[in-house]
Amino acid sequence: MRIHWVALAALVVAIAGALAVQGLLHRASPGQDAAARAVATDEVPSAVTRGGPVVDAAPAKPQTAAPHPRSVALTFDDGPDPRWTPEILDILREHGVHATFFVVGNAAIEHPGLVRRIVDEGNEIGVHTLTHVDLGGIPEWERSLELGTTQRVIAAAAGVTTSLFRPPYSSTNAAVSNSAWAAMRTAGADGYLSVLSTTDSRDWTRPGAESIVNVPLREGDAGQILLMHDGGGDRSETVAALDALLTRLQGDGYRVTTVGEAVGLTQTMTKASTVDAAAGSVVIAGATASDVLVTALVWMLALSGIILIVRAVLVVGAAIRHVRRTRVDLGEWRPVIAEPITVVVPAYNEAAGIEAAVRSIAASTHDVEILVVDDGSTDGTADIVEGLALPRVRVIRQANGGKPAALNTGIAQASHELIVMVDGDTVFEPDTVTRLVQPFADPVVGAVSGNTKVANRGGLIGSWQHIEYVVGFNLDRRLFDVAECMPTVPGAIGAFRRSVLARVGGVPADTLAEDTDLTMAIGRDGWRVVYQEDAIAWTEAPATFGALWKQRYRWCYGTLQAMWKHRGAVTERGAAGKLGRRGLGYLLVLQVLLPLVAPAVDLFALYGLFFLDAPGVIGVWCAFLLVQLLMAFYAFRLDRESPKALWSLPLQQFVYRQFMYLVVVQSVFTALAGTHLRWHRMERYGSLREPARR
Amino acid sequence: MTPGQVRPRTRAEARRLAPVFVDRSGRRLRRIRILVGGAIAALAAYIVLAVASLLGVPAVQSPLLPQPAAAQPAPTPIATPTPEPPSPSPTQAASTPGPAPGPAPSPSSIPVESSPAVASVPVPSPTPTPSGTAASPAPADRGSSASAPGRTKAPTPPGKP
Repeated sequence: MRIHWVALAALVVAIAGALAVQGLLHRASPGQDAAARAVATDEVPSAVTRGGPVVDAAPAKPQTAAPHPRSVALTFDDGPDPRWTPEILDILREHGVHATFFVVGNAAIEHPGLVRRIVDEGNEIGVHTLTHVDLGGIPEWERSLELGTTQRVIAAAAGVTTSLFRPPYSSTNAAVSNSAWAAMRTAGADGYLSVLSTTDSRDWTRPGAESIVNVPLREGDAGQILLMHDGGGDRSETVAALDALLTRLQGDGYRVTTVGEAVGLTQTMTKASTVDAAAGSVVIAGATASDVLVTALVWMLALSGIILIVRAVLVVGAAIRHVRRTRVDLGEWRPVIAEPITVVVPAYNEAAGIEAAVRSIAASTHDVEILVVDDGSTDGTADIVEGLALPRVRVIRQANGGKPAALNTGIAQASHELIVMVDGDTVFEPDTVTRLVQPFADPVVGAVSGNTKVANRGGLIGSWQHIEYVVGFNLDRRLFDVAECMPTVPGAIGAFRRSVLARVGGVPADTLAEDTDLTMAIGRDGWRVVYQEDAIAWTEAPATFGALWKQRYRWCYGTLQAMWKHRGAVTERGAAGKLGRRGLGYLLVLQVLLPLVAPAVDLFALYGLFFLDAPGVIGVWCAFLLVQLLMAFYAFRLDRESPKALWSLPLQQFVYRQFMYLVVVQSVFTALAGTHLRWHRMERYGSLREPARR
Repeated sequence: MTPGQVRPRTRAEARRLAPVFVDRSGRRLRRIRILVGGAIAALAAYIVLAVASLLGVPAVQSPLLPQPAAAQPAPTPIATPTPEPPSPSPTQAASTPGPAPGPAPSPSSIPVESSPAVASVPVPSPTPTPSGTAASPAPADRGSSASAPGRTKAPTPPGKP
């Protein structure tokens, strides 16, 4: 049974890993002028500062080399880019020249086909780090990782290993800073030659194509290494200038070629080892999978946001309509239904609260017959009730058979057509029964839901549940009423027609949420199920997380069972179809799917906080909190509750929310696995004494 | 609609009255366990593979830099590396007089060799294509350059181009 937590943990690890990979691969790189900030050059050997632009930093005495006179090595940095690189390759081919492409690993991972094309067309490839990071600012092992991973990606993509490396943010030899030199030494130790440049086309400043074409070359015959860019931004000017630039250089008699040929290096690329290529494939596969996963997460996040907003609009709109309707009714309110009512109280080990419950019902202003069905209690529940010796109260004892059996016994023994069902831990107000049954004046109404309120609303857990009940009963339930798709009449307070109960076969016993199951059956039978917000029942909410877990697990799992059992309603016509499409659809999206993706949403929020734009994430989060707060505020006003309890709403996002979605995760797993569950019974504390008045 | 009616009379009814979702045979639970177990094993295997792919430094054969004739008389250096291809140990043992960062990368030559074992891929890398390299010009530099794994890995350098 722990398997679902293992699965969830694995999923969280996978998602967190994917997010971390994406975050690290696309870490924010400093601006193009980062090279300018590192100024100290005292540790750079003069052999490098004054030497050629190709540097072997491995030996204690670094070696450098320069391109042959009257040759220009064309270098393109920061690619490959799906838009610009192919265009540049086309132009190079037209001119019959080759160039050196210093690719960034994270771009190569996304476009391995371009890397292969670069090499296949006879160009030279070089490493420009994995993430275009300023290597001087990171530890040595990370530098090696940046270079090595890019190398392996190139190996996987193009089947070659390159010995050329260009440090990001580098320019000429004279500009090599201490930190750049340290990076070059690492590269040298790993076997790379560092390739600087002699001439910057400054195409990254987007000075206009003409300016790039007319880039000032070094005077005289000295060989050049020309720095250009095929990726990392808008390179339209580079592409636009390249043809004319090549024409100019070739016209001036320069030999335009790769770094290797310009400098006279024998073999800058060799066939990649199978191991490196395989490792590169593993990296590409992982990064690609991460990318897919993170993209899916972004969509899910956006969709969740949209759903929450749509839900807010729907429930508030429906509540406004519902309020308008009931207000009209209130104007002419007088009890239309005055006939006697049977109240059925199923009780199993309810010793703690049964007295308060039965007394409150007996104090009802309505003519009621009270049937307490003791479902084989072992704590003397039945004796307590009999000891009260209240008029109108009858105790029926039966062997333990579960709550549905107890309810069915009560229904069978009821003397009246209208039956109110109430939990043994629930306290009514004197006019609750009267108000609850009034909607039966309409013959199409088959069942009525009352308004349940949390009695023990102190403490965090109490106040969270209080908020949840007030919002659930005053917004969602009004929506269900207006949309004629009430999926559940709470066991704590509901009224039914006995004839309707008979039509649907009594209270079903094959789900753990018999109240939801029964309500759906009544809805599918074509009856309207309505909400009577002024029929109030006070209930005792779980006071510990353990008890709350059990209760919610049972509710959630039971609701899933009932939804599955009544899934056929989706395609049915009339009232049943409304229940199926609207009611089940709402439950599926808001109470099953949304909580299931919520862990991923939370992870993504954390990721956004650390890797993306923290103020933005916090802003969005606050906006959603504000929407919730406003909705809750409205619900509290509708119920004439003090909004002071809303202080705990922001905190709800941190423990309660996660708690609730973990319940859903466990329930869905239990449903999928088909595990058999015992009835999870709630602990009773006996905190209900008096029918508390609001 | 009496409580007695909850008792099933036919097998179809018994199936209808069986709790929704419950699979008493336990087959679905077993299947899910296998599925979850398999997925976790695959994930773990990938993570191991990915870590192995990141470890170590790929073998890189750097070409010899052409020396400007004026700057350095290059003849001697080529001689030293070529004679002893089979045992790179002396070069590796050679003290590295180079600056601070030098020693750190050297252990990476071990992971490179271990990675084929983990990844269980054929093996080829120790004998890369015989390019004309692996020699560093100055004898004194040889030690430090040898500490770079890529260079030590070229066992039969044919000498200077």
